[in-house]
Amino acid sequence: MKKSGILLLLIIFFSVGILTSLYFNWYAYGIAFGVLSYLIKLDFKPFWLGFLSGALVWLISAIWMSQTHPSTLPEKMASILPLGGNVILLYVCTSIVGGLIGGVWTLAGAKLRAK
Amino acid sequence: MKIISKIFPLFFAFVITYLLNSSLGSVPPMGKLLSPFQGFWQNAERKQTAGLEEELKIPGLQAEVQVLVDEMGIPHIFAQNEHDLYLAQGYLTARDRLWQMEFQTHFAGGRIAELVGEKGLESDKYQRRMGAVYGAEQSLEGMKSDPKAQVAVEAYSEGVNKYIESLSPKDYPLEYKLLNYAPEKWTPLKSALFLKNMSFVLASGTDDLKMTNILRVYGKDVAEDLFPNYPFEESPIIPKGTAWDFKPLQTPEGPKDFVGLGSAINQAEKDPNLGSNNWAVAGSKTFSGMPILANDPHLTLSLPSIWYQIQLHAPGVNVYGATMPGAPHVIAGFNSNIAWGVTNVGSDVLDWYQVKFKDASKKEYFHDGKWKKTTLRIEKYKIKGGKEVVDSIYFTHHGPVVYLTNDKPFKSNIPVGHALRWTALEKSKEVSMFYNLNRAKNYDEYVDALKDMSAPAQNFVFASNEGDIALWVNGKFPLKSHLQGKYLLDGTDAKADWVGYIPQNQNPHVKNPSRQFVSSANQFSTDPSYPYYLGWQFSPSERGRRINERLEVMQKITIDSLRNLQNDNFNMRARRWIPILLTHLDVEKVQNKKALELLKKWNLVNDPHQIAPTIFDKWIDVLMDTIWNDEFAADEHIPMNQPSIDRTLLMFLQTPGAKWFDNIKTKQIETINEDVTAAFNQGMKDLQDKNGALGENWEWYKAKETGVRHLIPGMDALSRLKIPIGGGSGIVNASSTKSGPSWRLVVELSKKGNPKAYGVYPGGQSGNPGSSHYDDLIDTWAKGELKELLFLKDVNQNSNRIKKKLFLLK
Repeated sequence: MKKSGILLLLIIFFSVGILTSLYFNWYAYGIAFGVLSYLIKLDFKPFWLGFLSGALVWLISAIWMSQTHPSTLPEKMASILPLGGNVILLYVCTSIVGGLIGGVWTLAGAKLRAK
Repeated sequence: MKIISKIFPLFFAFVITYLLNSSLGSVPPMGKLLSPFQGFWQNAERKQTAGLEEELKIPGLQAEVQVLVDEMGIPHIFAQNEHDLYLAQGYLTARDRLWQMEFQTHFAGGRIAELVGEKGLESDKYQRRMGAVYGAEQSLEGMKSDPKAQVAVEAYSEGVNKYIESLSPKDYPLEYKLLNYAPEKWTPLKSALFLKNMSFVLASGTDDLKMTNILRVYGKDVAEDLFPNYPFEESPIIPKGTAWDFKPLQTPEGPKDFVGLGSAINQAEKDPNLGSNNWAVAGSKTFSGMPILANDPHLTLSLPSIWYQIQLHAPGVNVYGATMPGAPHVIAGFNSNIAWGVTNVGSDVLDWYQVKFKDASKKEYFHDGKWKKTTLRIEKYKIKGGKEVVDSIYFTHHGPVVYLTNDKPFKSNIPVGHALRWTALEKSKEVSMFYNLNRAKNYDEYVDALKDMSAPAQNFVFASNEGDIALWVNGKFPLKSHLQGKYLLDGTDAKADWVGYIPQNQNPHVKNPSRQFVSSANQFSTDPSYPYYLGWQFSPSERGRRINERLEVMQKITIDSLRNLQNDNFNMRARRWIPILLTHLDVEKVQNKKALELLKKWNLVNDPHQIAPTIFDKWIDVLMDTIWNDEFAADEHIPMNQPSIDRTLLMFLQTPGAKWFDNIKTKQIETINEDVTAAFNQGMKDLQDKNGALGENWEWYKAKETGVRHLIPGMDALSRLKIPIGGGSGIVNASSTKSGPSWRLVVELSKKGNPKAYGVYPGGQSGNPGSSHYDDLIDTWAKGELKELLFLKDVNQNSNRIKKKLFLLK
């Protein structure tokens, strides 16, 4: 698959991810990814496409939240979780969890589609 | 096979999603929690910027309500009627403190197991067996008997619920997300539970069991000698020589002598440092000529803070002060004409009756020569995960049999096989009292309001702009014979029953005394000339004596000089004890000479960076244990009280050869000098083991470790620990490890109705750790400073401190 094709898929998944997350339950974007990958034929490895899209949706949203609402909450959460107060690690964890949900559902959709 | 490989990833996706949506043990639901759309990221709050306006639609309001929010996040509510006023109070308090409100009432009502599982069950059972829910139901009855109180408590409840209804899961306070549950509907019973819990915090102290253990082991002479009924050094709240302006009732004849069964298992118990200070000085002693009032209730320091500041304005009321999240009205504060404050009364309002059941069915018990019927109350506990536990509580006419003979009590001071009689379990009308107190304009209206107070009894200090100062030791006090209830009582003896209460107008009180000030710091309410028995022990007298000593000599008093007195770190105990201890110390044998030198040079002030307070505090602590533990902490199954520091002082001065100095566990005979020297050496060794060689780590604030801790135990990231603050237990600035001045208020009244008020509490208005107002007042508090409180006359008064306007529309 061409690079532009991957980019297009990423943009679609990302946009669908943001929109569903804004209006539905926190994991709804995963299900939406599953539906997308069931409907659209993906040449790119579905798990990693979903993972990357999900991770980006969560990472960018988390950064946006903490930029528009500056507070000490991320530091506090990074101590509670416990990540030794390391906020970078908190962003990493957020991205991984966001990616994981995106990945497993995209894979599920793609497998269901597979003949 | 093909079908499986097709379906399996879907199954896997469901499992992963399910796991990330659930809490696993104490691990929060990581997906839900980390989601930027629904998790903790949503709890970060924007800092308030000036001039912000917001409109909120709240169905149920009868008219529009305006709320001005100042730079500390304190709401000033302007309502057009009382219903809307309390609805707005409920709504706004919930907006800042919902999780805390619900958590504290879950705790009070014995429902923690619903949140944390089995490990919360024993605490839950303790709460309910002590009658928390029963008592709250009684006080709810009391609230309903007064239409005004009922309107307040129901509108408050409605307000909380309107706020809860406006939330979607992403808006839930952080702690709901960490513990993975959702807020439930608020009810007036929850407000009652919250208020009832104040009696658990302040008036549930009981050592009848420990005293009975002493009685059994050492006999009555020793018990009465070492645990006297009035201190050697005291400065009672109602000044000595105050004439009683009433004709006392006959006190009951009292029970026959009785030695109960005693004994129990030893466990940790309540913090002995809870106490408070308040005082008011007459205009003749102040710079301005107007009375000034000061109050600082000492409670467990917590985040979110136990207090929430508010101004409530509606036709007939304009009041400012500290409220308790969970109940309507201001608890301690001021209005245009008066100011009031509270400290706890440590009177004995809780007694235990040894129960004689007829048989194992526990349907009947023996009392007054007859078998009488018990009543049964069933309590159901839901445990996180779905399990339910049912518990039966038997009641005699005294009250609940908290633990049966074979139960293992949750706290060591609770006897098994005894029925509890406690003022907290009676019908009460505190909400009516606060309603009237918030509106009182003068001394007479204050006195009138106090009639509705039952428990926990408080010292209500008062000052008015008519120039009056006063203090009422107020609440319901059982009418007892002398010392009735110092030891466990015989539940079969009708003469051991409570026969009524001291008439409220005969509660100890004083108005405009000749010394021109009134004060209280939890010490004895009166000297022994008061015709009724209130209790045999109160808080140590040092704080009270220091405050009275200072107020006697202070002249031209200002708000700032009283702020200084609130922050007074002078150590009365050290002043009294150090010269005495030094005469008994064998200097030759002292191992840490440097520590001794520091102590000798000390100015007796417990400042945060001094080392001498750490040395003195440790020395006294170890000394008390050295003298008393061999006799009074010998068997962990027979918990006993330790004689007081005041009684120990008397022994040092009058009977230095007393047998108690000898350690009965050794063959040789120890003397007073040996005890004092050994305690010094042991104490310094303990300090060295913990903090290293004498140096910076011995500084008082580091040894004391005053912290303001989040309500969830162990949540250090949401707590503020090792705060650099001086003071300590027994010091006017009573900041100890876990408790301290939880609200400081100083108010100067004004003839024109413009009181000047300053206050602070160690926390912040918001309960949200993602808000800048979560803990923004702690540093001010630790420095001993106060914030000027904004008391607005009306909604149109301009102030550059208003940062936000809320319009609550119907």
